[in-house]
Amino acid sequence: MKRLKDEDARRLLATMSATGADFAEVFNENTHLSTIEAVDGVVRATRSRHVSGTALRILEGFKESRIATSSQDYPTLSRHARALAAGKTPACEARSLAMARPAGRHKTIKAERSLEDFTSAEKLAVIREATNAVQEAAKELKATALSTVTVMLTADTHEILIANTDGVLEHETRPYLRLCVSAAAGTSDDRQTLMHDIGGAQGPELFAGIDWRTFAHDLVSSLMTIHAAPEMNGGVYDVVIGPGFGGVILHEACVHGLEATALVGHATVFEGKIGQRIANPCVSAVDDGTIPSSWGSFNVDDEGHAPARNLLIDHGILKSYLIDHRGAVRLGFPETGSGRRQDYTYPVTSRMSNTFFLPGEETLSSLVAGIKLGFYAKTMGGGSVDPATSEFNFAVREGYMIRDGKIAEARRGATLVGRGADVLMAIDGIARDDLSLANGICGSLSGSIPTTVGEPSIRVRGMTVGGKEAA
Amino acid sequence: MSMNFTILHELALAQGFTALELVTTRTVSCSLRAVAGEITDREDTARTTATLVGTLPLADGLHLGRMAFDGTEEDPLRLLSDLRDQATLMPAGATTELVAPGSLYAKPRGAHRAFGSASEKEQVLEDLLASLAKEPGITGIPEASYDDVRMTRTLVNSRGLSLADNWGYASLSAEAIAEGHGDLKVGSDYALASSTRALDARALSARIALRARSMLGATQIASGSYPLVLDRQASSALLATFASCFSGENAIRQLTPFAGKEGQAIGSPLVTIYDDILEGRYGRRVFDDEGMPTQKTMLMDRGIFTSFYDSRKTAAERGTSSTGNGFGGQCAPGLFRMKNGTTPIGRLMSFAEGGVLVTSLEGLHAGANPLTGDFNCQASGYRIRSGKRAEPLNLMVLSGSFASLLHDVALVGNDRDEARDGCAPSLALPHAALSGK
Repeated sequence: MKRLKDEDARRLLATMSATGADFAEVFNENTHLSTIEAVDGVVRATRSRHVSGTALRILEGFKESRIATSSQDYPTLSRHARALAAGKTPACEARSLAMARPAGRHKTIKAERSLEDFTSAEKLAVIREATNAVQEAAKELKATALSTVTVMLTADTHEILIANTDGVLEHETRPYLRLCVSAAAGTSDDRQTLMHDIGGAQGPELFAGIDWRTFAHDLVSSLMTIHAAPEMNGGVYDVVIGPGFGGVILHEACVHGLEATALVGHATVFEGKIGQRIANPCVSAVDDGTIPSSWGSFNVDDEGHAPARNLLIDHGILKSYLIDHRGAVRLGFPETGSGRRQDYTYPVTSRMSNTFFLPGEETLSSLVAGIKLGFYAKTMGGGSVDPATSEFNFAVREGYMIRDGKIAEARRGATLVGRGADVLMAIDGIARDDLSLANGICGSLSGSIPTTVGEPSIRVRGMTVGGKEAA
Repeated sequence: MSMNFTILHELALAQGFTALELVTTRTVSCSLRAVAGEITDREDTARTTATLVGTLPLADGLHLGRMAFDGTEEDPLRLLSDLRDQATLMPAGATTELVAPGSLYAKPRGAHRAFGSASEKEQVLEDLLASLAKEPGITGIPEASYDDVRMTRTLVNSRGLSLADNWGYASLSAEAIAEGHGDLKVGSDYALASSTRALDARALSARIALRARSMLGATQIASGSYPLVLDRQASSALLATFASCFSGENAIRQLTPFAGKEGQAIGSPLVTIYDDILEGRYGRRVFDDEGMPTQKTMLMDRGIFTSFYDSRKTAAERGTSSTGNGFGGQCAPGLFRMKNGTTPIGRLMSFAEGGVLVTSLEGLHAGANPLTGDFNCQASGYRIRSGKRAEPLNLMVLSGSFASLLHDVALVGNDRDEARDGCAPSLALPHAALSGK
């Protein structure tokens, strides 16, 4: 098939900037999205999609004009480039286009073997191994209520060309590999489900060395615990949030409000607070796109910039926002390597990568020990936030009551709500020894992108916990 | 589209496929976006997406493969190679023959007319911004947008079926910040219309401003069980989340609360639920992506569960007929709706005296599980006093199960939002669990 050549990208930039645009950019992609879904080891669905197209954009100050087209044909793109330029008032000479930055300098992510070479037979073998492991675990744990095992294997390869009038010319290949294993227990009148996953920005080597038995036992034992648990009593509790996906609280309750997208609309409670205390002194947090082969990492962002480890909160003090090129133009902050988009049909905006609380000085035991009646959210689900008010909600996948300083009986169906600005202040302890990251998909203005969230265990004083039973 | 089906079909036959189908969707859209009260973004999109479906005879029977791609410039041999991989992966199944001509289809609407001119599009967004700026208490407009989209879809296959339809709409949306009494709240809403000129910026502005202003000073309710009214937006959001409870695919997987309950009472006699994309003002389609005619399918008739909706594949496995719900390679709802009731919203409010009117639900994507029917989601709204909405409430969690909710419906409002293809009218419940302070 046709692919856009570097020289053609260069010519398109010249055309787009000929009438005086401050900035012009070509984003071209050839992405292959591939998913196999199997139920109890039998393939139920396959999805294969080749996403190919080009986005052209120009900026005049903060104002942006874009054309997105499912074409890579130079004459077609040239016509679009001229149309974009025609919308401009000639203001200055087109700048010379020095393509200064060599491609492939950054190797945060790399597939030892291309996902395009990961055969269907190999994928099916992984799916069957995972399915068998869960079914075996159910036998070993006498989990007779386990009814269905659904396994979804996604292997996506994004091939991107980014060129702009600041001299960027980058070619980026991003492999995203993820295995989601869901199990269901019970009958139609009382069913519970739970999903665990393995994923990364890497090739099939992701699965080498996976201890499937441990993975499956964790899934089945957690599912059976939830299935047997009574409903949560809603109310206000001191809450300990477990490591890994618990970091969704930072992602939703705070960092969406640190994105340039929220700042330019004056729609975040964190606007104008750089250097001010926004969290308890025990809280430090980063967004780090440089973690090797992590699900939220990349070699260059979707504006061709290297990722960075951005310190967002340092001992409670707000240190940085997440800034894309356009946000930098409007806000005057330096770019942070945070420009991301789902694909060429979405605008590029400031987004997170791998975002997590840094370790503190406590342990899970010491966090729980100080609570007489509370709630332990061992594993979190997804959530959402309104950055303007910082009001958020998160589902809890696996939770337990805390009684007299000990983790007690399991409860199902809990949801946490609150205000991010309040919760950051209400965190009064962070564990030092159990930081972990978890994979997710974040949806926002620029589409759905892979991100990780993470944290060590944290304690939050006085959160609203929702549940079916009124406390 | 320049991808020539005849050539593609010939290549497919040479590679061992016995039948081929190509579904093409052309999307032309325009988007204007305003940030902080100023129009800052314009995007024009012209995208062609296509799905290729082929049948491949293998040793164990006929396999059906499906793959999708963008554009018109893909290498046909590469596409067919991928199609072969997908067909090989899928088990041999009963529904592998493609649809032949002969079915009766509803009449498609005429080709969608162009929307307004570029200046009309800018003007309607400017009108919205200006109206919002004049609204009392509104201190900011973080984001507002105008969008229009036109979709043209064609389906052609080697059995001689050739179909086409089209749909489109224009939309206007915004979120605005209200400040007062030491508080800040955000209101948002949208409008849909068939043309740019038909969008009523002033009416939308008033709704958004009211949503923001009226929530100022909101507090948390004490955790407990309360009589409840879900207004039409909240009930629509909740109902749409659970549409897949009525999916034939989930029935096969035994992952729906309604598996095996055909003919049984699963809800109040006041509740009727159906799927009918032909009713849609904006997304009406006369055939699904498998070439089957779309139709009205009764899912729950006055409390009795009647049927699941099905694609050709799920229908064959369940021993029934397709209901024209094969969309995007999946078994999916077309326009999933609860039938409008006859009771005015005022009577619903009186019924729930002392309770809560919920006007917004957030976090349903994470807090609601269509496989189990359980939901726990962030809610906001108002206390109901003397049959009217009183003080605002927020940061509540509404918890329950979809199955229980259907049984508990005491009154069905007559206010389904027909102008926006609304999913459900307002509903009154005698009790619901709300968590707060």
